[in-house]
Parts: sequence; C-alpha cells; structure tokens
Amino acid sequence: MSDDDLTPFRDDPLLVALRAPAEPHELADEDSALAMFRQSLPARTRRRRAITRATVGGAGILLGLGLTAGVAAAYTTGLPDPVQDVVHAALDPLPVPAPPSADHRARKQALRQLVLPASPRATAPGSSTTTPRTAAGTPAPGRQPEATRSPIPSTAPRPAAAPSPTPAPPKATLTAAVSRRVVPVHTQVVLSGRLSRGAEGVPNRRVYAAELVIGDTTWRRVATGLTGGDGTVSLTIPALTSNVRLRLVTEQGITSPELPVSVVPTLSLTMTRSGNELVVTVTADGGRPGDALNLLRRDGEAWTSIGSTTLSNERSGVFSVPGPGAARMRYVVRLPATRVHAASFKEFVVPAR
Amino acid sequence: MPDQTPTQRSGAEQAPVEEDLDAALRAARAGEEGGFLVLWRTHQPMLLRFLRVYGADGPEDVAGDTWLQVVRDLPRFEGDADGFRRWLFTIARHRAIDAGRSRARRPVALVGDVTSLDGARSAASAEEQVMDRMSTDDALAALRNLPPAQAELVALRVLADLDVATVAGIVGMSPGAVRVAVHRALRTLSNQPSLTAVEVT
Repeated sequence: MSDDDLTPFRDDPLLVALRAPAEPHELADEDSALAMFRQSLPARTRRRRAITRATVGGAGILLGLGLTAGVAAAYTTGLPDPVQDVVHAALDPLPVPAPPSADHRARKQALRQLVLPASPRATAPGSSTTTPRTAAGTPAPGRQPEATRSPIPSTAPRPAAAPSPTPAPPKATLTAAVSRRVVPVHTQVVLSGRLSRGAEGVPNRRVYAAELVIGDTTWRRVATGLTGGDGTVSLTIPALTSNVRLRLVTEQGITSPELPVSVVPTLSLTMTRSGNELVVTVTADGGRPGDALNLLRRDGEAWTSIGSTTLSNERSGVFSVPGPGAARMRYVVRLPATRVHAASFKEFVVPAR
Repeated sequence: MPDQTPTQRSGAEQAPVEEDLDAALRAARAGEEGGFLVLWRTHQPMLLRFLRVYGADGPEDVAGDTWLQVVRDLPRFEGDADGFRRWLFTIARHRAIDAGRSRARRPVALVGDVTSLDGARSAASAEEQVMDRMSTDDALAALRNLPPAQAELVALRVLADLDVATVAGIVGMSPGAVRVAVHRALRTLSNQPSLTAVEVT
C-alpha cells in the first residue's frame, strides 16, 4: 500500500495507536479460527494432505535408496515428464515444478502405485517429516533444510513413527477448541472438537462437555451431543458467570485437552451530584463481594490511583470525585482479576464546567 | 510448503512482508494450516479494531463470521495478499453493516468499555495492561466519535490498510474525495481531544 497520503500523520499518536502491534486478547480466538479452517477443508483435501504426509515419508525412503540425484533433478524439472510428475506429487506441497502437461488424476494414481505399498510405517499420517533433500544431504537449488525452512507454524499433529513392526490400531483422540477464550459475564461459548482414530473421524459417538468452575474440584457435564460423520461435534456451554476450564469427554473416557475460559465482569456506573462532588456508584456484575475496586485518574500521560474500596454484598462500590471544574478529568474504575474472574475496566469523563 | 518468514505473536516482532503473505495465501489455499495461521494472525487484530470502529456488537463474533466466509470461499479466491486484504475487509464491512442495522450506531456517553484480560494476571500486570491498552482504546474511541462516514473512511484507509483507490471503490467516492476526507478526519482527531464527556445528572 502506498502510504504517501498518510505521511503527514505517520508519527501522529493516533495513527501509531491505531496501528499498534497485536495485543494477546486480539489473538485469543486462534484455536477457533483454526478449527473452522480445518472443518472447511473438503474431505478430498484432507485425504490429499494425509497422502502428502505419507508420501513425503515414502519419498524419503526412496531417496534413502539412492534417488537423491533424481529429486535434485526434479527441482529443476530435469526428469522425464512421467517421473517428474510422480515426484512432483510425492513432494507436494513442496514447490517442485510440475511438467507443463501434467494430468493430476494420473499423477495421483501413479503415486499410489509407486509409494503407498512401500512400507506400512511410511503410510501412517504424519509418520515422517523427512524431506528428500535433507535425507539425501543434497540441498536443492534455493532451498534450505526443512527444519529451518518452514517457520510457518503448523499445529498439525506429528506423532512419532510407531516402533512396533506390527502397527497397532491408532488410539482414538479427541481435540477441542472453544469459540472464545475471554467472554463478558453471562455469555455462552461453543466448545467444538473432533473424535478421530488416526486420520479418520469417529462418527455417532456421544460426547459430553464438562466444566470445572475455578475453585471447585468436580467436573460437571453441562452439554452433550453426538459426533457427526466426520467425527466433529459442537456443544454450547451455558452462560458463564465465572472462570472455568472446559473439556470434551466421551462415554469411553477419552478426554480432550482442557481449555480455560475467562469471564469479564461488566461494570456499570451511576453518578449523582452531592454538593461540589459527584458520587460514583459502581456495580460489578460478575464480581464477588469483597473484591477490590480501584479508581484511577488520568494525570497527563500517567494514571494515578486515587482510591480503592471493596465490593459490597450487592456487588457495588462507591467513590466520590470532584464535580466539573476548570478542566475535563478522565477516570477509570478497575476491578482487578481474581481466580474467579478476569479484570474489568470502565472509563468515565467529568467534563469541564 | 513455500518458504516463509514466521509471523510472531509478540507485538515486538515484525509483521510479515507482502511476499510472505503471498506465500502464506498460496499455502492456505492449498489447505495448509500454517499458511492460514499467518493470514489470520496478521489480519485479525486490525479486523477487530476495524469492527470496533463500526460499533459492531461483539466484534469477535462478527470477525468469526467473516473468517467463516473466508475459509469457505478461500479455494475459489484468486489474487495476491493485497487482494486478500481487500476481500477480507469487504466481507467484514458487509457483516458489520448487517449486524448494525438493528441498533443505533453511535456509542453511548461512557467510553473505554470493558476490556478483556486473562483472569490469571496479577493485579499489577493488569494495571500495566490498562496503561498499555488505553492508547489504542482511546484512539478507537476517538475514531468512533467522528461522523460515521468519516470514521469508515479512516478505518478502511488506516486499519484495513487499503489504498485510496480501493477505499474509493468500496464507498463509491472519488479517490480525491477520499483523500481529502481522510486528511480532514485525521487532522480533526489530531487537534482536539475527542473522548465523549459523560452526561452528569
């Protein structure tokens, strides 16, 4: 993007603030986004990716048998077209050039015949991350070793290769993602996950959502549902009023990782005049009696703490501040985080007289 | 997977350059999670801020709807990283407009609303967080206090990082008019405090 028209404002605090680096809470929904992305992939793509992982491993074995030079040639399209085609598919998604007239379906078929029967271990999804280049020790033009070449983070599972010569059936696993990690009080979240055995989803299994309220010792089942055809399930968690940990669990006792969800209390303010002062009553929905409540005032570029109190049994606290004066005054009421809830803030401004 | 420069979550790190985003986009279209994560981490923060300027209720939810459409249509998307950003924010704008039709657009008198922090933080770090956050929150609040048309232009130009011609195409104005309006808005914001004063009863 050309920034020319914004150049006069480049160092303006407002622009700097608007374009400030990401804050952690702005990236809190990553798991949900990733789950959404995974579920959007068509089954064909999922199968292709599984084959890709297997064939990269298979290609490594082939290369271990002495095809190093051929793969190096593949990067320069130096192989005959049919061979180039197969290697291109085997190394997909590494950017080995395909021959100009490659037919995708024929390539996949040739690939299956060439690579898949090679070794049961090599066909296990994610069983190998060996690249032909590093295995052969002959870096292809313009490429670096895989370990340092692919810094794009990948959360795809990469289980180690099974050491047993007779592979046991893969264990069923249950993943989980939550729609939001930080929510206002009284908000529902959706806990979704996938029950799978190896790369295949396990359909039609009952899955429970379990909730552990922070401070409790017992998990409670709060929702239930059946896995779909691809093993996925989405369950709505009832409105939250305190921090919790969530997980999915099957009737057979397979559990997902635990996911914390923080609840942000809602602060509301009412103001009344009392002589020259304003009485500010703060009510914290989601707070607990006895929670600290602080009042800060903006002084230049800094915030100064000017008062504190605790929430009453009605979950409210009262401050007094000077009424409108010569200058506009900014304040923020802060409810610090506790084990039970996240922090919450509310700002208010007393205008100049 | 194409070569990439990692996108870090820390604000201190550099954002990916355009070439990296092009590579990430290609990877995401091929179904690679890593590529999608780079796109998401790069655009999600500004997307949330953009939606906050629109006054979207639950910007996270609107952003989620936006990404849902993106991942659904990504295999059919054709274009580079600039085109992707244009596409993403156009979807977000439509979602925000849909979400906002049923309620008043302008913010209430009190500004600097609830912030969301990890519940595990100590009080001290929470206070530090407030200090850090106020700046961006203030800026967004100030932006929301502009006339809606001006706020939209600034949001598209500054937060969505779209060029003048693209913004002009989205809002149906001439590039010159967009340039002038954005300048006027930024100058207004630079010259006066813009927090809304509370009505004292």
